[in-house]
Amino acid sequence: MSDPTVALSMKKVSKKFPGTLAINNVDFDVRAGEVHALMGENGAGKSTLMKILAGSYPDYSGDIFIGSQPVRLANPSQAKAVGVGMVYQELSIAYNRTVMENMFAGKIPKKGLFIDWEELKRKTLASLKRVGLHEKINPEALMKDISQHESQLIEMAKVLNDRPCIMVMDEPTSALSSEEVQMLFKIIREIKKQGVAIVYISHHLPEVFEVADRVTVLRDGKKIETREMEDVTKEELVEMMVGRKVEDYLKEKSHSFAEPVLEVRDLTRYGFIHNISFTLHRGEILGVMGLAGSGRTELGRCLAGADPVDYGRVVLGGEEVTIRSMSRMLDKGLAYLSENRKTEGLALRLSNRENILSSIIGRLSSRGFYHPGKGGGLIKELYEKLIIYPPDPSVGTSNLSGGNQQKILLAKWLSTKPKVLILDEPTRGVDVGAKKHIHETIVKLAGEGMSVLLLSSDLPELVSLSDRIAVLKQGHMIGELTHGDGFDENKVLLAANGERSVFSVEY
Amino acid sequence: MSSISLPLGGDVRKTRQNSLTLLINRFGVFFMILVLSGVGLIVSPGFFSSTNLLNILNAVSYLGIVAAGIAFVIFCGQYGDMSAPMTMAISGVISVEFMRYGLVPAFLAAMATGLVIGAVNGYIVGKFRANAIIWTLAMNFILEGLVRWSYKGTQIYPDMATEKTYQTGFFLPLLAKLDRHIMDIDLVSRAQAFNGLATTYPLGVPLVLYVMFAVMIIGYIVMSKTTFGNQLRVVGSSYEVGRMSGINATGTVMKAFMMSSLFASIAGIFMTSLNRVGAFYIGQGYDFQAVTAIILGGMSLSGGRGSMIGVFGGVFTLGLISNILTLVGIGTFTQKMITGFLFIVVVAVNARSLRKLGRDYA
Repeated sequence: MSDPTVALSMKKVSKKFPGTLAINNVDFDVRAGEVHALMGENGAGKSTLMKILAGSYPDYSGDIFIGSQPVRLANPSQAKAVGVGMVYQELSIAYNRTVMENMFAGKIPKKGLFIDWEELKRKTLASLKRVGLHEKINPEALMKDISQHESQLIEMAKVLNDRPCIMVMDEPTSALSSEEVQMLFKIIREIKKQGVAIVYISHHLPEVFEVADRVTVLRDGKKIETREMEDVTKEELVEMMVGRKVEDYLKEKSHSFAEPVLEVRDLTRYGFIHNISFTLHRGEILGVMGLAGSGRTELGRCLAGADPVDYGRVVLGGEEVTIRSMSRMLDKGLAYLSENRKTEGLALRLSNRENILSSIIGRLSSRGFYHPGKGGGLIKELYEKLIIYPPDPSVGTSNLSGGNQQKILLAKWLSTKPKVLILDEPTRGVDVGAKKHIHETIVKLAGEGMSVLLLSSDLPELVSLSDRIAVLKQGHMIGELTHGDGFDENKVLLAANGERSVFSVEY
Repeated sequence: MSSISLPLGGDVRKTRQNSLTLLINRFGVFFMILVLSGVGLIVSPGFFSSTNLLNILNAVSYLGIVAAGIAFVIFCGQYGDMSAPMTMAISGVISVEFMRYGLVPAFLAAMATGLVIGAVNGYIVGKFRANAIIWTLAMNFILEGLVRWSYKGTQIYPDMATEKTYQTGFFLPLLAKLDRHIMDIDLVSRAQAFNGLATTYPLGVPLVLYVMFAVMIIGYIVMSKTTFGNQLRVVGSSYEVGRMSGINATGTVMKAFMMSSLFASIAGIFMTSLNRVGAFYIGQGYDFQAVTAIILGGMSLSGGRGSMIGVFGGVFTLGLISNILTLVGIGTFTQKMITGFLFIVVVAVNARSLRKLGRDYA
């Protein structure tokens, strides 16, 4: 390599998963002493690229250079040995052990057969100093008494112990308050000065502008561009991330909606959602946009009766409802499709038929006896409507592809014939074909009079399907965008970041 | 890493399953019965005589009743009901105490006791998600302590007619105080009727065998044909999915444990009649044997899979094994070891075949 300042350089790196090219010929380089932001929508390939760097995917193609040395990263310990340090979003902590034991897990200094506590303490203090915690934290404190934010810094110190030349930080601020973020940035700048190359993955635009020197945007597994932070605007960055609109489905817009089906006033679950109010009309698709932790999923769960509600008024189909249980809300005509298909949505061990009918066993029963035969016509109809493959309802659900499993999940909730359907990430982890199909089905159902509350982090999905988009931030509904405001992905993303208040606030 | 799921097509699951594995998983036990029958014929030419077959069935009929109940708990994904032995014992004791009012009230009182035990178990496990094995084991100890304490360590005999009897029981002294009339009841004939339960042979077949078949048929219908049974299948496969499907998961789990205790009560009554004594040790070992039979019958420990037909197969297999071992002259203690070993093998095979089918997350 000619440039001596380059700490890491990935050349024409590709990674194939069966049926798809997750990373497609990506060039990526990071200089020593810089913070390089890696951005992209969910599924763009950021994680895969960094997992290659961490040695988790040995079957990549292309070349990787650390400094000027070509390396072949076959496993995580090898990646560590060449100087790659990963700070993950999810921390690996033994909560009932002390800070120092956690910090040096696996390489605790020994004196003969016994642990050298003095040495351990001394080393821990030295490495805590690097993240500015040496005066705040007692190495002998138990990890469970340490705050989330300090744990994250300890994790960082742990990674720094190995003296990495490249440090990857994956969404390090997602659980931090703004002051804590500032502290973290201060430390990042310190580490940077020591010549460490930092890869910083984040969805939060303002942070990236504050801390990063350069930015690389990935989309659909391809690199779009690498730019100096000074030469790029937020709008440009968003456009690079989102790309041209995916023309998979565009709904014919804006008929006026007159008949309210679901009215929610001041719905609150302390600590999660606060005073959420909105009205959903017959046949309307109301999108709810919000970043992780905004209360998006909690809103769906509260309305469905899966989580307790502290207060709030809910009128469903002209009738005031007290949210008490899921079965009650289902009876009233409100169904909730969970974002966790495998843990909350489908019993993978059962057959497709059993899964689809699982929420209407009661309805298909008379005098205590269940008549699954009565659901046969319904299943046939749903199979045809959703084009589920293979077309045999007796097949076990675990044998289906992700896309078809998601269709089964949708079919399960459609079988309850809901007035209001809450969809939480209805196309997560689903291939393009199934995604398009699910989108078409949603719009068609809305056209037939079903009301949809669409909770999604997929921007193109929200923009192309929704009639209105409400924006949630930190549990509050901070406003909504209507087609009258001319919403596009750009505007919605900025709104969710709290960047602009261009949209109308109704309540 | 970040909240990214694998990009498109990351799904690499097998779409076809090994049909042999599936077949063994589902009908393996009947294949085993076939093999054992062959072995039986070699060991003894009289193996298929109706007397011997009836002997085999009679020997496992109590186990069959208990297993039919515990099957509901396992179907529910809760590994087992370890309080079955004491539920059996306590039901026997209660039925002896209330026998003085007639057989039917005695049975009702015993079964009601069983239902209460099951309801408590089910509520704790269903509502608070307690580990079923640990909780029911604790319950078993509590009940054992309760029985031994309240009867001051004595056993209670159905045919004890003296004045003293009315002081030895727990409910009896109470009942005697409230109702002097029970002192005059013709105890001997009542006791004879009660003790005769286990030795009645309508049409040459023991009564308890009829009861076992009745219980199994009822269990089969409840498990596969009723609303409860089908909701139980969903909750058993995945508690969270059941709950998120609008099913009252706590209630469903509760009912499963109540089925288990109810059936254990019925077995307990017959067991007490057979032994002619109500005591804490009635029913010992039945928990473990029942679980072995159920797993042997192809019911998955992780819930939602299997049927009552398999349970019968498993129970019958245990009967065959025991019969063959006795015929070749292997004693009870050795038989116990063999059953224990069988349990280990069966659970291992069960886990393995499930994993092969991709049905288990383990």
